[in-house]
Amino acid sequence: MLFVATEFAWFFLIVLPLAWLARPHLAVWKGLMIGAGLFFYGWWRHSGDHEDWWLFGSIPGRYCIYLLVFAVVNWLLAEWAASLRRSGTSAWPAVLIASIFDLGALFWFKYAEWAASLLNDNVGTDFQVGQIILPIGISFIAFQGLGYVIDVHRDDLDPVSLSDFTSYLLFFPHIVAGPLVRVSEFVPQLHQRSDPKHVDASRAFLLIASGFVKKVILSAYVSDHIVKEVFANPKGFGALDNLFAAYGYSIQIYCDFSGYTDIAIGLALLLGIRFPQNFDNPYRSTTMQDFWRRWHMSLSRWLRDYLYISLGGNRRGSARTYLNLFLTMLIGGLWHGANNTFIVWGALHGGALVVERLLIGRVPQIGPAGAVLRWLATFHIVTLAWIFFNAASVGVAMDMIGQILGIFVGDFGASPQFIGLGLIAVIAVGIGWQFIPDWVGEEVRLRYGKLPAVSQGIALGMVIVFCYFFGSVADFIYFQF
Amino acid sequence: MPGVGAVGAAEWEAIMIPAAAHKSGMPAGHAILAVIVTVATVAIGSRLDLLERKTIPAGDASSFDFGAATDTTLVGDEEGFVASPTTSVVTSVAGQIVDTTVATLAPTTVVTAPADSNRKPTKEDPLRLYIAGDSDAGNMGPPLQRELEQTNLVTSKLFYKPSSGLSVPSFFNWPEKLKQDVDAYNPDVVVVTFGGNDAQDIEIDGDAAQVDSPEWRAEYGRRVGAVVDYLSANGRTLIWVGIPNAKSDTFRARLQILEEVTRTEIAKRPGVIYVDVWNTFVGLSGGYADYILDPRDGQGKQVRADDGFHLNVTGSEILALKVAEEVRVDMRARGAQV
Repeated sequence: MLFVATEFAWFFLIVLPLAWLARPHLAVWKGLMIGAGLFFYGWWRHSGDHEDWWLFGSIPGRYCIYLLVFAVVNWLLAEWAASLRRSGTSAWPAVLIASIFDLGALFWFKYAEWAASLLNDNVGTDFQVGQIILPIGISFIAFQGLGYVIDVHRDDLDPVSLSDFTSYLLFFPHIVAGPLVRVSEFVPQLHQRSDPKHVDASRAFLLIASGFVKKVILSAYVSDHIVKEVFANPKGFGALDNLFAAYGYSIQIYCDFSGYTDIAIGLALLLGIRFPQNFDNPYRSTTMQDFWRRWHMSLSRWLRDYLYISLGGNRRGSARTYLNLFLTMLIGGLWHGANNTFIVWGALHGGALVVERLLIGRVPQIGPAGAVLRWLATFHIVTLAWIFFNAASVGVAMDMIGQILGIFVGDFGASPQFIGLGLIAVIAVGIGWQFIPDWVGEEVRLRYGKLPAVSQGIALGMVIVFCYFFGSVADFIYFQF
Repeated sequence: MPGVGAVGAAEWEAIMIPAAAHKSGMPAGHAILAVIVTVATVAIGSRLDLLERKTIPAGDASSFDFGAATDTTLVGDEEGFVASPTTSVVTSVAGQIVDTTVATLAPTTVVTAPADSNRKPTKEDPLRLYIAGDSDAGNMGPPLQRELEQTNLVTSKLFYKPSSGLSVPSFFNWPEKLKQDVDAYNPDVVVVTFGGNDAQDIEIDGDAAQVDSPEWRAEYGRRVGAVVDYLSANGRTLIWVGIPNAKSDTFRARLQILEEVTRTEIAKRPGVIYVDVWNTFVGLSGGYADYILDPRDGQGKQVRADDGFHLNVTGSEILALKVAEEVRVDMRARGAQV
């Protein structure tokens, strides 16, 4: 189910009151949330088919069973890890099996076709894996399951009950595209019940409104007005169109993904659950390291804690630190899917982080102008990497970069077709939004929060109508990951 | 709230979204009420037809004209109406499709008189190719451009608008866009494809004409004719790429009518090249097919997207090869060696 689709409104209208009615009885609440999660996940319209709703018995329905299998297997492995730990034995076999299970499933669904075609093309084998349909959000589910087993193995966390774990994994606001919540962030909130007299609803409503504006208006606008067309054929357009398409995609992916996250966090908040932050104005960053502290923060923390640290982190000398950093980003890139474009994306980020670490302290600080230059450099490196992220192939990305580089030799190619006031305004809003001081947002929230509940609801409803009127709805980019 | 694991309360707070100030927020009942009001507001918006923008500045619902600037000069002559030597599977006469023979990958193109062959494309002054249409153009365009641009004798421009077509100009005003692009780009060869979104009612003087009504046939035919006349004027070569059939019986029946009307209009205009897609992507019995033989390697491959209509990447590449061959024929007629 899509947060921005009509049927979700009806679903949430039913689930929200039931959840608060059930809240005093934790077991009932968990049962309700597991049921709601399965329904939410199973109710999916097959992309491209405008006639059928796919429910249980269909492909997404079948994947509901997989969700339950993920929950039970990871829970059992964590129990085993805990018992090994209690008996003084190392719990690594449990982690090994969890890695094989979670990452193996991820590999099967995301990379088997790619790996088979690589082998068939280069080694001459003849593997036929058939067409594999990727269950939505599989990597979020696998990462959360594996993270839990590792936490228990590291003794960072005591194991939780199966019902706690399942209701955590299947909690519908984060089931398909994050944020990557951890058991340690979620489960304590089940047992320390939030006060039904003080629900942080105005913050939730503003987050939902901002998510709609970002997703349905800003992201859709740049996608429809430049990104899709130029990325489909960079050589058919001039240098400036290509440059603005790259800027446009930077805005599109931020608005799409952070918009989704805003709505997810808002919905969880209405149900009395706080989620971790996932985006903190990433295009405000003046260094690449800063960018990764602000972009998809829940994944960055996951990669840091479970991958970078497992590789040895920064404890094995500087050369090894750089290698670990680079490898973490490369694997992070590959996580997005089996395509060379994602590998280049990860390598660019890894390389930039390494170079930045080498330069820190060796480049003189030159005051405010230096900060502006650092901001420009960071934004353009991130944008350059996004070109690969979105391009159909590395060749297409190189075409696009080639067209853009024409600017430096005065070769602008065809005259711009897409650059107009509307596009410039949307890109400016997409970037400028992130420079609004936090206190402004807080002030807006305080004033909005003083309105009567009914007025808050009407205001939110009007924002949503406004978004639908001026925007358009498409699938979220991150569903495919 | 303290974490259950190694994460301390302070770090936990830093990770999570900010908490509401002590004793602030609203009772759950009020929050539920506000959500109900939100949904009600959206429902009212929906009732008032506000959830979908109806007015798009370009064009109005019943207009479909190229205006005074339209040059309807035709090229070629009626005598020259011959089938391509390699094909002749389908020919079209007054409103009927005659002979829908089977599906092979043999070219199935109706070719009329040779196109204008005044300008020989060279590396310095390459052939200008303009590709336009709906999402099918978006799928077929890039492989077509790649295929032709490697000759170094072609420069191209692609414009496509998903979900668009000739039936609903209020959604996208193609006459205006085509005029704009043709004026700006002055192509030698134009490749267009429309139809996949057109098997729907057409608004004529405020009334909706249904597919297959005489009014619909006349109006859709007029629109196809207007596009063809405009794009083939002034010695320009026009290649009209047809539509594939569809899996759904009802949809296929509607598309078949559209296909007939389109072919009829094109057959009236010698010099225009029609690429028959319908009979390319069909099974041996002439029906819908998911798999066909890829002419590049003779392997059976899936060529359709999972919506039972669109071509997938492989299908689009096969089609692009077919269209590219038509462009090469035109280039040869202009004296280029390709």
